[in-house]
Amino acid sequence: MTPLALGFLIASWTGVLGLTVWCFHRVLRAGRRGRRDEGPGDGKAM
Amino acid sequence: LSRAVRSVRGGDTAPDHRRAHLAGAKPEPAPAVGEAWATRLGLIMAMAGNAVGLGNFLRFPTQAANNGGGAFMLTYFVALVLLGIPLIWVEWGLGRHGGRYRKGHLPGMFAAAWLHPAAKYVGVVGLVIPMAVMVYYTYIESWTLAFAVFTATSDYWGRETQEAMVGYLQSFQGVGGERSHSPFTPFGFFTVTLAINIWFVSRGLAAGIERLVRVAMPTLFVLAAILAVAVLLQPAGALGVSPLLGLQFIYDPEFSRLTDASVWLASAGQIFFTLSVGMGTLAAYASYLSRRDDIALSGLATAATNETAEVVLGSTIAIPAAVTFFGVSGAVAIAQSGSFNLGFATMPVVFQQMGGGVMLGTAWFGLLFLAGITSSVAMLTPITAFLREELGIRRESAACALGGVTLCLGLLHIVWLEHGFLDEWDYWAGTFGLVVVALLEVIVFVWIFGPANAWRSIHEGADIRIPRVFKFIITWVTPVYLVVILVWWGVTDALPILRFERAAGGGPVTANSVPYTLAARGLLIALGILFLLLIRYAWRRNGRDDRAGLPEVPQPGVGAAR
Repeated sequence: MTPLALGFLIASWTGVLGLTVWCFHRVLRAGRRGRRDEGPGDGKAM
Repeated sequence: LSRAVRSVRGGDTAPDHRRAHLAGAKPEPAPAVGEAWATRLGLIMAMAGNAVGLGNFLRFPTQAANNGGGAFMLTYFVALVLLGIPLIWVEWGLGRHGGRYRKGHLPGMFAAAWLHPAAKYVGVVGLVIPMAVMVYYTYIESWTLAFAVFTATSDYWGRETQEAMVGYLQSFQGVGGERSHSPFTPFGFFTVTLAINIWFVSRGLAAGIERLVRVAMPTLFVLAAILAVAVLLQPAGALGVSPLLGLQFIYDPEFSRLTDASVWLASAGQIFFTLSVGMGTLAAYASYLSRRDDIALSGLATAATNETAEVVLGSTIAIPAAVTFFGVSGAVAIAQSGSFNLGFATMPVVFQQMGGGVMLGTAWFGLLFLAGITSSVAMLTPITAFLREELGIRRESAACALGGVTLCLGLLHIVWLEHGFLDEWDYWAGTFGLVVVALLEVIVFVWIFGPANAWRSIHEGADIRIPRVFKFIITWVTPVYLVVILVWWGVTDALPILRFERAAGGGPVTANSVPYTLAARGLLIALGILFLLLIRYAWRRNGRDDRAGLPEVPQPGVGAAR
């Protein structure tokens, strides 16, 4: 595999996977905060 | 809990109806029993399931191989940022705005955002396109179910060349000279696939679609990961080529191709197909959200999940496997012959040469089936929403009626496949139509509803702030991008196809295929007229004044269905 292709592959995969992990981390964090702020049974459902 | 139950049953809607009545307007009929997503993760999985489809594992690698590998990938990421992600936010925003008025279909959503009598009629495209795509998509989905069974039973084992497998595939489809399948086999698999779809749709959002995706999506990712690892661990084939060369083939940027307009348009087209924008299905799913629910982060999470399936997994399976066993030139020739040949002929040949081929092959077609069904159940959602909300038809009855229509239309696709009937619908509804719908959505939600209103609407209940540059992108860059695609495709494809200068599926038009082409176009137009008449009937039946706006009926939002 050429260094250019390998670099592009790593950049693409890291970007896509990084964005996915960041999004789900924020979704889960927002869910926890919602439950804490609004009390049991009334928060944003996860 | 009791508040949530009342809300789901439409109990909270009474004041709005009384207000509308006191103001002199004819009251809307009581809304159908409300639906809601049970959980936010379920909603994101359903949206991602809608997006992740056959295109991720078949169309994407084929397009990448045909359009300069790395050059395609570069333009693909540009299209994702300027076209795909903005359109996802537009569809979610338009859908959630329509949901405030209990409108889960584009005619209603357009009427909610644009107080003009024409709005509802313009929205007819949001009923015709998903209906048409649903018909042939379910048929293709049934091939994956059939081939999963054929692989599990080693039915085609022994056909170890590309030509032999193409003959087997054509025999199943009922085209070509070989007849090793009963003519009723495709009918049987299509009926079973359709019945499974209708069952999930008839169960509703939380109990049907959400339950399906909570099992199907993790399973799909596990199967794809297993296949990707199995392909990458393959030793070099008889040609001495390793799977890594397949990855290099996709990711090696051919910078000279960046000046080729067709590469930019191919990548923009792929972004459309892969994210399922321009069909109104994302909007239909988002219409069940309340103003408290986030759409900015959830929309982005959906796009990211789809891109993981496509870029990481989609690029690692079919092309590297084809390159390993057929070499780079062989893989290019296969990719040029179409994504179905890659998925249904080349991959079975590859699996016959791999250890554990029966299991891996079954996993491949199982993966495609799951990717297909999580998309096809979404396509009926806008139409069932229309029938329920506007005509008061029960969800189960609406799903069964649509199942009957899909079955009848699907039979035409099966019988007339070799005459290009499916290609014609795929071009006008599943290719050109998507861009038209997306452009209309942007015009109505961003330009007519107003960029400031749209931007504020997208941020209601948001868990993230979208960078402000996207307001400019959504308002100007995305629509210009769409117009360029539409004009380019119009000149290079649509006009020659319309004038019978070439067939929608490529190649020359034969005199024999012209009547079937006309029948395909006529049926699409008939579907459009039927839905226009239904919209007119529904609006008259419900006594609406288009310029006064629709009565607001808040959605209970995520979690109310639990």
